[in-house]
Amino acid sequence: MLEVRNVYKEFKDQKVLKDLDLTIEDGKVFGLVGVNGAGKSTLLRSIAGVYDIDEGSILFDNEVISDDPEIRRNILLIGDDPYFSRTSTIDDLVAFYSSFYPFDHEAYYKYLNMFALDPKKTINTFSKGMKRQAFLIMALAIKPRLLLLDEAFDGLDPLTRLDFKKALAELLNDDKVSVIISSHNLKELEDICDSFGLLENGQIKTSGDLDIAKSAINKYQVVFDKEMTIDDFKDFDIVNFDQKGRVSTIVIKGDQEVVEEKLNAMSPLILDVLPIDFEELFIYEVETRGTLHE
Amino acid sequence: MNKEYLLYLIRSKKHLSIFMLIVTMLPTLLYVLTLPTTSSYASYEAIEMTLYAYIFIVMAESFILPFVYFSFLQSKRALDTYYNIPISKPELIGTNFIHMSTQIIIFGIIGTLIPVLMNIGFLNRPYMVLALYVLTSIFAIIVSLFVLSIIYKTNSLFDSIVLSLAYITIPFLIVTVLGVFDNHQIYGLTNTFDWLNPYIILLMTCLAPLLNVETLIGDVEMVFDIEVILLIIEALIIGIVCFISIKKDIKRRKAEVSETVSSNFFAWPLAIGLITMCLLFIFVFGIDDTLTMILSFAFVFIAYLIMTFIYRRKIRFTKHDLLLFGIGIFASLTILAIANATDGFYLSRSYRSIDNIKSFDIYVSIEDGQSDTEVIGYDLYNEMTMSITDKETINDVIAIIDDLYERYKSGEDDYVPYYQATADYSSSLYISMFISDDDGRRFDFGHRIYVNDDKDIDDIEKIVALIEDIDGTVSASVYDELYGSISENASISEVRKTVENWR
Repeated sequence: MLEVRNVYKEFKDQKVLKDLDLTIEDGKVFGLVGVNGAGKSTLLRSIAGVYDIDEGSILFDNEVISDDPEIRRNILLIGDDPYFSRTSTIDDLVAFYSSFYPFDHEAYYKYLNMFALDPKKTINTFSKGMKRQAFLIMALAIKPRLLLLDEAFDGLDPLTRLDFKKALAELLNDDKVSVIISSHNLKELEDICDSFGLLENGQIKTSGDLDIAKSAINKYQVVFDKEMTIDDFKDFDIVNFDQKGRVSTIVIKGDQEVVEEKLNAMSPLILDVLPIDFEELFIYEVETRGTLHE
Repeated sequence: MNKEYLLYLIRSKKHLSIFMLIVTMLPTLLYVLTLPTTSSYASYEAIEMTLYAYIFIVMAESFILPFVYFSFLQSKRALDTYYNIPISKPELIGTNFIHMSTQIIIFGIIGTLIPVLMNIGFLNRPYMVLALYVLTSIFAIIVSLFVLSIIYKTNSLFDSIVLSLAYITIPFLIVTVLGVFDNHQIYGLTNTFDWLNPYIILLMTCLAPLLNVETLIGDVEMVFDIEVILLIIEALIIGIVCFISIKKDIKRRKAEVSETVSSNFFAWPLAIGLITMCLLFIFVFGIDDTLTMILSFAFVFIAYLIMTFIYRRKIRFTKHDLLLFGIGIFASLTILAIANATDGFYLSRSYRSIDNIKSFDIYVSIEDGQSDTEVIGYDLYNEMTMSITDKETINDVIAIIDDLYERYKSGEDDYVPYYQATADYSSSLYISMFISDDDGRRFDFGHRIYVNDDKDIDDIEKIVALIEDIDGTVSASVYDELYGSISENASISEVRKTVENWR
């Protein structure tokens, strides 16, 4: 289990992580989301032991990660732009990573075939997506207890994304493996994550089970016999309001049954509940705080 | 040291290792291919050249390789990988350093031993090559520690290379400042700070061993000379300081600083400060007229602007920068004023007493008239070195030399006599004279006599008289060995006057 407790991290005068708390149980796939510059990569690097935190503690299985090599043997970070030397091949990556981590060569060849990469070719000649695949193969062969993937889906084509998600699912068959994925591709995260955390102003503002979070915000399409304004819905915790003629599309926070009951009390001609996806959830959560920059 | 990582380095850097082996062996290969068998001197010279080349290559490797081995410290991407792998930071750095240094040392011993073993008979003191090898290896490690300490103080590969070069150049600037101060501010004396130069130059760790090769392989006793021992101690201190600095920086330096401006005090700020101050002092001490001095300040200011631009990678000049430059000018002018008021910090015209001179060595060699190279340390030429204390013998020797000179002058002999006397410790007054022709070319004739008493002064007067007989001009220098030259290019009458003053 990963426990991030009251973590502070500052770059020069900029406080990136502020009193950040986060717990991720074993066997979970955690989607880390946030606007650009929210500190996602900083958090992942801090967990991986790359960055020293200024205050607080990061524990894995109740052990402080920091500079302890034995703890770090369980944790692997695949950064958003993974490092390789100019002449490195996938074979060289295998030589490097297998020197430090238990390395499943059978899994390596399996995923190498799946992604159809040439292990003798220099990685420098690969496309962005292929480079990412090469490192994902390493991660899948190392099978770390905690896998940290920064911008995991960046540069992957739809088919490769599908293959990657399959491979990740196989990795997660071991119920002790946890994965933290940061990505801007929330649609992809939605398919694979079972919990999420919204990083904002250096803190995890919203986190928890993705399905529960999604059910806590719903989009209601309501038609009344007259044109309504937002003031007519002041009793609701409105996240977003859109009015086209007599059709109101309202995103409301709160228990679906309770909201529906209150809306029905207003005698709508039509009331539909539309599901929201992870991307919408992210946008609404961020919008309500007024910190969406992109 | 981490065994798994070391094995990885051995496997992954095998191409670099082979390249290093070839480069380190190059002088030896050249030596073997052009193996001289004609004379012991030729063999000696070839070995000496091989060892020079070997030291140069080892020093170059120990300077360049840290940038290859530790460039990951300057890359955010690389640190994501290297600081994540299950190795502690001290182990990561230590293992890289051990792999790098071991190669330099092992390849070095192969490169050194082969020519020595092949020609061991020609060497009077083959074990000195071992001493040279050990010292070179130590120096190589110190150089690598020095470069690594700079890498740790900087945040980009460019900065680490530029600042490493800057920090090995700054000692040259300091020597220049002292030289200019000596020549322009200390009247009547020169070479005041010569004794200090080797210690300052040693700060350019890469070059120091090269300066000492001949000492090491030429004269066994020099290794145990206090000057050499002090130099070795200074080198070790530099190594220890760098080691402590690296050890602290391994803990202190944060991954996130890589690829940012190298604002650590010991990176750009100190280098810019030292270079600017050295330039200011060179101009302030060396220039007399105000207009030229103002122009030189403008030149230093432009240099300061350029360095600040390279430091920050943007054209931004703050009030703080301007203030620092102003303080620099003020400080240099203040020191100049103090130097003027105190006759060069009371160093001008300081003459030593000659009372405590007890003995001196006299060295005589006969050189090939075509050669201007003096060969010291092995018996290939007619030469003699004797340590004498009684004045009678000294006069006998001078008589022999004078006789040799007379033979040369009359054309009986093609050889040019060269003789000089050197005191066995540095608290003597002496006079040296070289005879030049009308074009200012110096003949291979010199006479240096140390002055202990009136009798020595008599001898000098005899020499002066001898020189006065010769066609052509005379260039004479009067020295105080501790404080340097009292007067240079003195006329013979000035020499006479100085000698009379001594009396």
